[in-house]
Amino acid sequence: MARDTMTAEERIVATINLEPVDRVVCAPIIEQYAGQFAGITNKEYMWDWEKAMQATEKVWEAYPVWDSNAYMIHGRYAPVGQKCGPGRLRMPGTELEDNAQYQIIEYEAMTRDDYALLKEKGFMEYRLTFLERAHQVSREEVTAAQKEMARLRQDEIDRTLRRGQSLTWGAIMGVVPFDNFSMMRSIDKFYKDMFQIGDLLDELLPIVNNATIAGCEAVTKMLGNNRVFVGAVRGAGQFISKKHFDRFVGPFMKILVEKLAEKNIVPILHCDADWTKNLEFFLELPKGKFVLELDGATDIFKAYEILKGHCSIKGDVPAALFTVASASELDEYAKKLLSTFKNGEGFMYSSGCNLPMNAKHENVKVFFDAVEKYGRYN
Amino acid sequence: MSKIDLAKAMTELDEDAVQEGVKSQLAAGVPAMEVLGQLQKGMEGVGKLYEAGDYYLSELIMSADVFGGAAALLNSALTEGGEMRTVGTMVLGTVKDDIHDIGKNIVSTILSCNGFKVVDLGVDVPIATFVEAVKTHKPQVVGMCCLLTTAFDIMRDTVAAVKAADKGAIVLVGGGPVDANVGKYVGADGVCKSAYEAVEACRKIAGVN
Repeated sequence: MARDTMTAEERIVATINLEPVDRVVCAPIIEQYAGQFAGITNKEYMWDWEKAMQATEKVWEAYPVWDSNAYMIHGRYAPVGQKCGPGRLRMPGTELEDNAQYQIIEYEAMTRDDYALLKEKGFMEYRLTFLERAHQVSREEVTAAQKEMARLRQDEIDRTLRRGQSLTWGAIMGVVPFDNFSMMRSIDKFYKDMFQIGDLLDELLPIVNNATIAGCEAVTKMLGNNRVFVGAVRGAGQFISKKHFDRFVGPFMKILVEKLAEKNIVPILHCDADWTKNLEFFLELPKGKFVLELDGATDIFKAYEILKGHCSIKGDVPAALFTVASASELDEYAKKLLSTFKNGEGFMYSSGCNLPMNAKHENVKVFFDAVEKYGRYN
Repeated sequence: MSKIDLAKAMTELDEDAVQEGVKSQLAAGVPAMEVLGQLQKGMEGVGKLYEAGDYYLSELIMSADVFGGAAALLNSALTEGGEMRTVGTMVLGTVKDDIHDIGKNIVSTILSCNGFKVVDLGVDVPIATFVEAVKTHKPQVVGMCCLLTTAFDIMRDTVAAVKAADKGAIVLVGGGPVDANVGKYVGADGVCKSAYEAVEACRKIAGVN
């Protein structure tokens, strides 16, 4: 068997730069599956940091081919997630059964009147108000939880680097402005805003975008890693027309990637849902300066046809292949994926979004085994 | 009488024109059922545009809002004129252990706007509740949603229980991670990837042209 000749960091950097590598980057989002793999309940995983970290370690010990940690548990870990997480969270062991998956409740925590408040106070200040409201906690509790989350993030970083893995991203910078509003307003309310008060959104989306760019700059400087996670879902061509995309989504993604590229910051655009209709748009973003992460809903093979040689693509073994399909079906898909993308074409092998908590262990093994079988280039 | 083409205004999501059109037609003595018919024709137009790829989920949501606002104006007039006619019934819910409601609510709203009676059981719905609702309401279609992959097994059990209770029951499933593989796994009769696919499937099952 050939051996790795690059470090995990060298490999991910080369992949983003569309350069040849010794073998494919393997960067699934493990999260809650780790607890199940380690034989603990999800309550233990979500409420006991040390147990969660040990469970993650066990996955890596079993599958050392996992060389890039797309980590995110520090922001969902129950004691902090329920005070400053992306939305109201219901957790195993408290609101849910001990081995249930955590769930995010979306509701209209931000009212239409709040747009004026955001305009007046700025996005970062309004965001704190939103978090207080969504989690029903005080400002002090929100900010204390954010500090604790930063400490946990650093712990995940330290453990990741000690294992010799790369950090797929240094920090999670939330989502693009369109999704930010949609998640705070709730999806149906925000789509109506798009039709009914579009002019106001024209005014406010740049404010949120600028705050996101500034946040990316600050966090990359602080962490010493130039990669950031930026999510995008609800502005996909699956949900909105090209006319609306061109007005409310595309221009801001373009500015975001361009501004970050000027600062040598690489956004991992975590694009859940189906972006197949928008694939041409990504050609407008600077070449080799971002990663497009897909979750199985977008046709990744179409993405390959259109974006080959333009950007790194991360993805996308779908949840169903981990949970209800046979191991051989997953192997077949992994083979297709890893033989479609050629060395030097910037592919990062991954689960489509999170690896499901209830993935079959034999399918997960096949997922990792595929790296040596089909993704070894040296 | 208003010169506003109500069906066209509805299809074009022109909220103000729809409101004005409904008010003036009612004031001119047009029967509420007839006004409702024009709105439903407009919704059919929305569906056609969605099918053609010119409208998207966001337009469907907006159309439901415009329709809902107009239907509210008709409410009392409709009650006076007798019960609203429906083209079919769906029992709908998010399966047990899953509390996500966004997708389910959208399906419920869009189906209602297209003339279906929707018995919405809510989220985290126990198997027995689905079974009971099927026995009580005798729907043409049962719709089940989930967003969590951990809910696939309970969805499979729910489909089996519903089919055991009513051998002719037709079950459609949907939700973020629900694809053809999952549909097969849970034993569903069909998978809907969007609210409009659900409308089309239900219309077909209910024999609506």
